[in-house]
Amino acid sequence: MSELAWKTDVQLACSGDREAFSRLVRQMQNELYGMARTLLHRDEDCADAIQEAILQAYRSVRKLREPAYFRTWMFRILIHECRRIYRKQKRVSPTDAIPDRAAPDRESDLDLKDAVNRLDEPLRTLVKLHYFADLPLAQIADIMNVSEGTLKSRLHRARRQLVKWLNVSERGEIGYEC
Amino acid sequence: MNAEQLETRLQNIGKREGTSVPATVAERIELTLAALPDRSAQRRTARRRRAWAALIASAAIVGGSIAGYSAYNQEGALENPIGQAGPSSEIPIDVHSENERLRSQLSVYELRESIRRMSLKENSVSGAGVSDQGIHVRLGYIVNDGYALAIRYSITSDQPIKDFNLKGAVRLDGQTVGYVGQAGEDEGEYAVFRNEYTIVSSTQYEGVLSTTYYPFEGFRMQYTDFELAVSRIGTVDGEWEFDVDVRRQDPSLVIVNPQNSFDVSYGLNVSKVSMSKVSTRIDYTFKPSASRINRVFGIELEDDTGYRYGAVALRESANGEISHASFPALNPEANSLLIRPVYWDWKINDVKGRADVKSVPTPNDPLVVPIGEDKELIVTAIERRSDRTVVRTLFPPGEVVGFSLYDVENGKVPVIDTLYGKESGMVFGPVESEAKLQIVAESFGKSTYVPELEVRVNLP
Repeated sequence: MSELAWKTDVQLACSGDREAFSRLVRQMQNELYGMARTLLHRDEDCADAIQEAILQAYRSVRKLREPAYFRTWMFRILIHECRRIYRKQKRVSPTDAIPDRAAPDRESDLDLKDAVNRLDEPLRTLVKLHYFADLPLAQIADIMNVSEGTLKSRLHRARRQLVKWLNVSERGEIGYEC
Repeated sequence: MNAEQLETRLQNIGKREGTSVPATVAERIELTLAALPDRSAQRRTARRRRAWAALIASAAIVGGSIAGYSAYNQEGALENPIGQAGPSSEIPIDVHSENERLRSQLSVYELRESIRRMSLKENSVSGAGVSDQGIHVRLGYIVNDGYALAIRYSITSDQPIKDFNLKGAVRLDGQTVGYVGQAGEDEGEYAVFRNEYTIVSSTQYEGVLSTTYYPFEGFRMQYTDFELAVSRIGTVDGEWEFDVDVRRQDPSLVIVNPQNSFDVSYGLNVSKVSMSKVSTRIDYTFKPSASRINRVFGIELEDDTGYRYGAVALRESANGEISHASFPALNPEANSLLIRPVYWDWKINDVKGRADVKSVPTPNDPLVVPIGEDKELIVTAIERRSDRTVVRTLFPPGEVVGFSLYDVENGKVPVIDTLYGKESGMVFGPVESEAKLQIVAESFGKSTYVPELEVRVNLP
């Protein structure tokens, strides 16, 4: 889709055109799934989050004040929904969090991913978006509505915490919560 | 572990994460989209920002996609995907409208007559007018089928007209969808509107602006706020602006076969052919075969009179989504359309042919531009007009040849349009009458037709 076609569809979607809105979502579906997949474990949860994000976005797209930020706005809704599902999951059986796909992860990856999951918000989401979803800080800053400087500071804190945990873990001084 | 090692491990995890959407998620997305309430029929109530002129115009519609070539860069073993070619098809057809109302042969007769009446010779201009700087612009019909636009206009000046260039922008619902006149590609101002005109007198000319590509593909609202903002006519800068409420029309003629599918195999399934006053649309789904070389799959459209409507590269259908290929409006003389599957083996090489234009080429004394050892481009005419330069060529059978026009002193001349119908060639921006020109041609590979998969659609 050309940039012009994208802008036109955003404008149409903001005026209530369902087809244009659908085209935008289809255009973004790889990115939406990629983001959801970094924040959630199971495809079923990703589908739930994306579905709810689509419905919320469609309900409020006419209120979008700046159409140029449609993509960022959509991501923001999705992240909010992923966090909600994640919080809900933390309260249920840990077996629910088993990934759908055969995990190709190396053992050390699992260590690291578990450590990332133990980070508090907003550090956890920040690390996942920046490293796992490979989003540049500028885009995350738009999505999370904070400055890049703040993000760098948070990343520094997150890395410091992860190093601390992983070093302790390597010495066998801590187990895993689940 | 130190911070540096952590950084590396985090980045490596990111690289290993795949993001292809699994079928279950894709299906859920489609179901969600299908369940959204439809608000598109509600007429937009936004206030018009400008109202220099107002008129209500009817609009016709069929469909379209961005015409052009885009390569699928695929890698894998080369296999001939044409192996299961079926017999040549002549499809029995049903004819009906989008509204499922049965149409008779009268509808194609009406469509042909409508298209004939839209021609410059047979259509008068009597709509709203705007004057500035002693130049009067009047609009005639505005036809919008949601994928293509045609705008009839007339320009009259108090002074004799010598320069027929027109510069302006077309906006739909506040979004600029294309430009008229000299293209400023560097600024993203692509002249997607063809401007055909005839000179009525020394102080008047009339024409039709029509889309050549469709950047606003799928503009399907029932009502569209159409704006035409002309900023220069000839050498005179000014403001001739129109704000028009245009209603979209259904296609005049829709053809499907009884099984609702022209299955031509090879991954291509043509489900519908629709025709309006301003475009011809083919609805299809397409799943390309795996191929190791760069291969572009497309369809060309021509009719029984030899009129060529151009070629469109096929898009791969995601989740069974129907795509649309748009072509120019039906040639009124046509009795049948021929859909010709074709594939291009895309081969970029550094071999370019150059030829200086030392004399005006003619069909009997063409300019031959050699490309490498065994290919050539044959130029039969170069027409230097005040608003454009038309370069006519012969159809290069079996070859995909592109070419550019250079003004030796001022660089590359921007492309405005591509010729179609009974003609072949390109339209470029204007050049000085004494400018030294050079044509640079390039071969992009071979094109191969698949006659056994061609589909002929007889018009009722």
